[in-house]
Amino acid sequence: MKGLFALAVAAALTAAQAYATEPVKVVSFSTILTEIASAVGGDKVDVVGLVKPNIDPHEYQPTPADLEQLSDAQLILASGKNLEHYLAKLSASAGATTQLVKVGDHFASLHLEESGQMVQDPHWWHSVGNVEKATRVVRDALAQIDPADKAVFAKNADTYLAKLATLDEWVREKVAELPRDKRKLVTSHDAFQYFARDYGFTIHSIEGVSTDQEPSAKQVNDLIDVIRQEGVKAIFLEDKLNPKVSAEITRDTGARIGGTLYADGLGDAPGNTYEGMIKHNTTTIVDALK
Amino acid sequence: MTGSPLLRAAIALALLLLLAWPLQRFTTPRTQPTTPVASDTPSAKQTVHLELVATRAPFTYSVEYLGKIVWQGNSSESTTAGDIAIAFPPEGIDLVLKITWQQPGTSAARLTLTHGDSDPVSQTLWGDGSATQVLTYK
Repeated sequence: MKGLFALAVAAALTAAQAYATEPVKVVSFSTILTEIASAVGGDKVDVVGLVKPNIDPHEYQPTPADLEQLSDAQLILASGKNLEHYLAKLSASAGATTQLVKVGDHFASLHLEESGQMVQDPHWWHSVGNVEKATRVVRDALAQIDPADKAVFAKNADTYLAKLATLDEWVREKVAELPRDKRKLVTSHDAFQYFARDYGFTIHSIEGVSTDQEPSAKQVNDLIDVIRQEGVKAIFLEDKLNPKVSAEITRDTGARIGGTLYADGLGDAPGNTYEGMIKHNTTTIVDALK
Repeated sequence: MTGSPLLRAAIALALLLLLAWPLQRFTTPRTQPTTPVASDTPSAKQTVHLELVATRAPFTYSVEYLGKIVWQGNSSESTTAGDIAIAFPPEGIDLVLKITWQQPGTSAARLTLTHGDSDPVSQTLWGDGSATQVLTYK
């Protein structure tokens, strides 16, 4: 009997050890959070990014294959701030013990107008400071699920946070090349409020918060007036903007197209990493407005 | 349809005249000047006094404004000062202070800026051996 008991205990311990060494299954709805979870989790996590680079998170809808990924996920990471309108419908697909973290809801929001209503601006990742906060949120969520590897997550997070601190200082030095009275940002997508707040820009957008909105004639005319009055030298586009609109604005104001920015997350190189995205956006903006 | 053809023609003409102004406004290309209204010329330069005080000496330092070094040197004393000529718009300016101390350990430096009749404005940075920081003055 004693032998049988010892055998059962040994089997239970082996199973527990095997479970402990299994990586934490993380599913992410944000390219930025996919990078953060991979950096913080290291080899202790298995991260599946459902929103891939170059996919517009405003238009993304989960597929049946995506829903299958949720069934055995231990942690679901979402941008939050109401960016993922489909999250409420996903609860049935997720496991009973799955932890859903809307990362952006853990820090303060800026607001903008959408269809006559003030809504939370979901583009928090354009603030390096916000991404530092997001890193801590992800670190704590992983440590809660896998306490045995808490020290690993803390060490990895510190390494990633140090890179972010260096990146933030780089952005501040780059922006310092631009006189403060020239920090006027006109973009085709209202995604850069957090960047503007952190680095001293005034912002005007050609469209509203979502990329599926087309600007009205009045919005375009108002923007043309602003560009003229403020003496803005360049405007910045996303690929999706109607080319007739940008042509009208540049023709009527003398402003030029300053370049294309990564607005909604990671994409192709150089914006295939967070550092690359931020450096590309900052360099494009500063060099065009000089 | 009843009524005099002349009356109907007059009504049609009146309608066309009423629509003429908005039609002309929406179909005529804008002819405004294509250069921005606001001036691109930088604000006039003015003399700005800088005073750098460090907790340790000697140290080397540089101050950048708009990506160019406008003040630099070595100091064997804890305080050094100088004047520079730069534009100072109402929105304020950013200066990038880079400082390296010869002795290791945590040190601090305070850069005080005075321009025109305004009160002096000070910004402080900390570092271990060296430090770089963007300092904003308004």
